[in-house]
Amino acid sequence: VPPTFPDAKELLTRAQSSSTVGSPDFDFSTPEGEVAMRAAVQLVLEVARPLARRVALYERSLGLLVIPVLIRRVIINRVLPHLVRRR
Amino acid sequence: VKVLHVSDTDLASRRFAGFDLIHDLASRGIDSRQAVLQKKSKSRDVTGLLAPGDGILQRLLADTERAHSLNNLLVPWGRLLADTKEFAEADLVHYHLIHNQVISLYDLKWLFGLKRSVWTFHDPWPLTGHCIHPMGCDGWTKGCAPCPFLDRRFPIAEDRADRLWRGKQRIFRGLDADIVVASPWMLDMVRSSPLTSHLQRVHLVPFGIKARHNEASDHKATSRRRLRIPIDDYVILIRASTWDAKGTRHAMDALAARPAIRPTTVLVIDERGLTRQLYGEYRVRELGWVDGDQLYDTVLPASDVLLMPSLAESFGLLAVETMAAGRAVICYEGTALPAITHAPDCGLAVPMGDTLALRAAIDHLATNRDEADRRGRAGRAIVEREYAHEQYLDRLETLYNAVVARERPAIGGTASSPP
Repeated sequence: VPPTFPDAKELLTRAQSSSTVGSPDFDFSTPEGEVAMRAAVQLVLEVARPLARRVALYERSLGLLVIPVLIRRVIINRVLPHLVRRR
Repeated sequence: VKVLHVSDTDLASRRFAGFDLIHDLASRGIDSRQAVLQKKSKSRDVTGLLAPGDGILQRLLADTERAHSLNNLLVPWGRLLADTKEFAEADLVHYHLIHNQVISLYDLKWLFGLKRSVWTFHDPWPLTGHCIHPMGCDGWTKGCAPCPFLDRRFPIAEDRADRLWRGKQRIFRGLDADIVVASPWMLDMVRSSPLTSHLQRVHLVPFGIKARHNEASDHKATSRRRLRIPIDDYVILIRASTWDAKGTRHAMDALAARPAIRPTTVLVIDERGLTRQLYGEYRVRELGWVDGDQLYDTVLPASDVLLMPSLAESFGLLAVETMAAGRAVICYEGTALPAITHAPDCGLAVPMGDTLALRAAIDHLATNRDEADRRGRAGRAIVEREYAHEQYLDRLETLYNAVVARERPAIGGTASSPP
């Protein structure tokens, strides 16, 4: 049977209230738990995955932004003193 | 027959998780592809499922699962798999290492419904609540309640192992797949488990290794020169790993128990820095991870004996490769290794956890070279008889043809559009 997904809002509420450490038990081995888990996986795919991609994009962009700063530091700290000494 | 092999990665486990089968089965008319989470090769026959950014999500999910005491339930990659062209075109899908956060267990049941499926149990994880190997714990036969080993791989924060076990029970109840195991030991476990004892289509297919490995094993002198090992030394090969299942601690204790009875070199593969306590007493050569040609052409021929005191082993490919090279194997009882190495005729198995018995076995082979040679020759004959690569391919080919030929109930819908 292909997965069917109940209302996402209800599942999020359920997940937040019941499956954190030390919270009331949530038995994911029951038929209801199976449905909830499948819905959670769908949420991961639809919500968390695009967010993770955005984070990865930001990380890469930040990396690119840092490169000119590093180049400037190398020029100031290594190359310039060397040139000054030669003169 | 078009087969899609599914695993966590392609190259690291290439010998037993599908990558090498792409090439090896082609001559038999089996058109194989592989789908993996982490693609490391440049092969066009391999599809990587993770896109940029997915690695972050994967780490996040692993942390979330651990904190919430879940195991392989939240990962969404099975749904990406179902959307691939390779999955759509396959006649059957062969699942390999899928417990490393590859496919959610509940999605697995759904995927099995979409395509004819073969699932190789590479270890007992499908039979336990959360751990890969029970290692002496018999909770897996009784529902994993309570679990005394929450920190075993894959660790969980709170004891919800019984729920994970029952979740697997729900999945296996309606499982439509052919199960493959590689050793009689694993077959016994599958037959004994309340989760899988009802399954009818369980196949014993031992892994095979290629015959070329046998030819290189006589180059002891050359290999030792290459590794800078004195030609007359007694050479013990061990695998060092921080994973306690591999028994590195036991190998260390056995070797450190008393001085060596003759000049001895310990050849160490896999992780570095775990054998420092032996430096005074032994010559130690740490080689890091060794695979392929270097293992077969240099490391195994240079060795006299493999010391493999694994506390858990579902097959033991390294032991078979050592036997193929004509070298003796020392192991513990209680894993797949005694049966795989045909102990006591060929392999030398001692009681689990008894490091003094392990040491006695090492010394016994060090002083009785004729016996070590005899066990080595016996091992090589066993490999030629039982673990030949062609035999492995024959068995897989027969299995695939049988699975594809079998009548199957009509399946509604497609992967991307549930009815």
